[in-house]
Amino acid sequence: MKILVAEDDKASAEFLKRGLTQEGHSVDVVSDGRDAMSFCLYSACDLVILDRMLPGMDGLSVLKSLRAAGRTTPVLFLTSMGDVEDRVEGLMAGGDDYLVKPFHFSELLARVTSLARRPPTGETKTKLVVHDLELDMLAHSATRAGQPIDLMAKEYALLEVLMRNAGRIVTKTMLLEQVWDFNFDPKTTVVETHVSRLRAKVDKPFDVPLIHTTRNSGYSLHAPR
Amino acid sequence: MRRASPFSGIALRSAVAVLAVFAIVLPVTGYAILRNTQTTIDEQIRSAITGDVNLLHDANVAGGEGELINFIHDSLATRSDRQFAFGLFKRDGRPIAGNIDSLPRFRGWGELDHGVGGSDGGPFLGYVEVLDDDVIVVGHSQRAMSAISNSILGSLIVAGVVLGIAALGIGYVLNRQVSVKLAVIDRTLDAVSRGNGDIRLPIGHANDQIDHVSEQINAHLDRLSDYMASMRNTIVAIAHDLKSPLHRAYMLLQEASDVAQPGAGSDRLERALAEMEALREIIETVLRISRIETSDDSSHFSTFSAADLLRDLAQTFEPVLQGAGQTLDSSRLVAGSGTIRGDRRMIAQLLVNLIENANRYAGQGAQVILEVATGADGGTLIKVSDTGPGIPETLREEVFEPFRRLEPERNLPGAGLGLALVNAIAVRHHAQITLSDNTPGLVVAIAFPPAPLTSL
Repeated sequence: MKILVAEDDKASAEFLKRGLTQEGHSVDVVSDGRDAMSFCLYSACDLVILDRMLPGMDGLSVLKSLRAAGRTTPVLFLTSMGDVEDRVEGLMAGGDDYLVKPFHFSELLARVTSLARRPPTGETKTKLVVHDLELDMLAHSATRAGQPIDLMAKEYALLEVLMRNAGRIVTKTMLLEQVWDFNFDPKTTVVETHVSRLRAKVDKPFDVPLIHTTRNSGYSLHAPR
Repeated sequence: MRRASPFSGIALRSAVAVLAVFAIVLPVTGYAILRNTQTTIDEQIRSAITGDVNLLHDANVAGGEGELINFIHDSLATRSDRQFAFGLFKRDGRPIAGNIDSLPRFRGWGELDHGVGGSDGGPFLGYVEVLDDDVIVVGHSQRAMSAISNSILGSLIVAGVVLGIAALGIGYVLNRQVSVKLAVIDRTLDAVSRGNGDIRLPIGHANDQIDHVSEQINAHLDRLSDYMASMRNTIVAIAHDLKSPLHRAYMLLQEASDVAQPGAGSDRLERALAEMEALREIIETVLRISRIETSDDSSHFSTFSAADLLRDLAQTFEPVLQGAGQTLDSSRLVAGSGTIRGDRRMIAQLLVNLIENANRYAGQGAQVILEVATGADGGTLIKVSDTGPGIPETLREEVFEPFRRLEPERNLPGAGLGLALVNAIAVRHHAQITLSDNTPGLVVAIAFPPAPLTSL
C-alpha cells in the first residue's frame, strides 16, 4: 500500500516510515502542509497519515481542501491534542480515523490496515460470513454451523466489529470506541471480559477457534489458515 | 442552599430595637406631657375657684349672709354648664344655699366627695372656708381634666401603635430588599464555588454598602480567575511540553523492544513501556481535566435518559464485576427515566469511573447498586452505591482533589485522578456530588439540574 506520512517531527516521521516499510508498505514523507496537499492532488496514494499541526498549512485545512477537491483517500489524523472536540472536528472535516500521540505502533498499524480495506462508502452488507460463522445484520442474529448463538447486545456489537474487520487485528482501543463508544480507557478488564464471554459462545462449543488474541496488539477473527 | 429569612435580618432587628426604645420613651414622654397638662388645668381650676371665693368675700362684706345667698343663686342660674358648685352652710352644717348636698369635713382645698346637686357627677375640686357664722364652699368640676388626660393618653397609644407598625413595616421591607440582594450573592458565590468562574455579582444603582461589598467581591473573583487561568495555562503548557519528549521516548522504546532478544532486557523494556503508558495516561487525564474545566462549549450536549445510559453500562460492567466476585444491581432503573442535558460520553466516563471505583475498593462479595431518582429541585439524581468499607466522613471532601489517594489504595496502581475527573465533569454539568454512608459502604449521589424543557 502507498502511504503518505505528513509529519513535521523528524523522529516521528522516521519511526512511522521504518515501521510501515517493515510491514511492506511504500511510504513517502512530507513535513509541510502545502507539500502534503500537492502530493495528494498530483500523486496517487492509498492512505494519508496527517499530523494536525503542520507548518505551511495545518492538517485540518489540508483535509478540508482535499475533500473539497473530491479526493476520497482515507485520512488518519495524528495529533497531540486528544480531546473529544478535536476528534469530532477532525472526523467532521472528513477524517476517517484519529490517533493521539504518543501511540503504540501496533495501534497505528491496526488502524491503517482497517482504513485501507474499508469497503467503499455506500456499500451496505446485510450478512457477514467468516468460515462457518454468520451474522445476519437485518435479523440481528448469529449462527455458527447452522446453530443459533444467543448474544447479548454488547456481544453482538463486538462480534460485528470483529467480523467486519475479519482477518485484521482490531485493537482494544478500537473496540472501546466502536462497541462501547468510550473515548477513554477503562481501568477494568471490560474488553477482555466481553471477548472471553463471546469466545465461550462462538468458539467453545466448536472445534475450530475463530477469535484470536495477538499479544500487546488486540484481537482478530479469522478462519483457520 | 439555605435561604435567609426576611424576618431574621439586621434591618428587621434594628426596627425591633427602635420599637423597644419607643416602648420606653413613649410612656415616659407621655407621662410628662400628661403631668404638665394636669398641673396647668389644676392651676386654672384653682384660680377660678379662688376668684369665686374672693367674690363671695366681697358679697359678704357688702351685704352679709343675704348677699351671699343672692350671689350663689345668681351664679348657679347664670352658669348653666354644671361645672360649678357653690354651698353656703351654717357652722353646724345646715345648708342655707347652693347645690352642694352636705358640708364637707375638710377646710381649705379638697375633693368634694358628696353629691353636687344638678351636676352630671364627676370629681369636683373644692375650697371650704369659714366666713363669720357661715361656711362657704366653692367647687369646680375636674371632668375637663380627666377628658383631656384620656384624650392625651389615647393619642399616645395610637401614636405608639402606628409607630410600631411603621417601624416593623419599614424594617421588613428593608430586610426583604437586603435578603433579595444577599440571596443573589449567595447563589452567585455558590455557582463560583462549583467552578463557574465567569459569573459575577450584579451591582445595583442604589450604591449602598452591599453594592460596595459586591464590587469588592467581584474584584477578588477577577483576580482569582486570572490566577486560576494562569495556573491552568501553566499546567497545560507543562503537560503539552512533556508530550513531545514522551512521544519520542515511547517510539525509541518500542523500536528497542522490537529488536530486543527475549529475556531480562526485553522484560525491562516492556516494563518501561508500561510506565510510559502510565505517564501518558496521567498527562492525558490532567489535560482532559483542564480542558473540561475551562471549556464552556455546550455544542456536544444532548438530552438523554440517565437510566438508559446506566442500563447500558450495567450490561457492560455486570460480567466484569461478576469476575471480581461482586454483583451489580440495576433492577431499579426504569427505562427512559431521569432526563439529563449534557455530553453523553463525558457522563459515561464519570459513571464508569464511579462503577470502577466501587469495583476496586468495595471488595469481594460487595454489591454495587445503580439508581436514578428525581432530585429535590426536579433534576435527575444518579446514585452509585456499594456495600464495601466506604470512606470515613472526614476524608470525603479530600478524595476529589487531584493526586489525592487514601491510605488503603496507595499500593494499588493509579494516580488518584479518577475522582478529580469525575468532579470536573460534574462541575462542567452544574451537577453536585455528595458522598454519604451506605451503612456499610459508600453512596455517591450526583444531582443534575433539571434539563431545560426547550431542549427536550
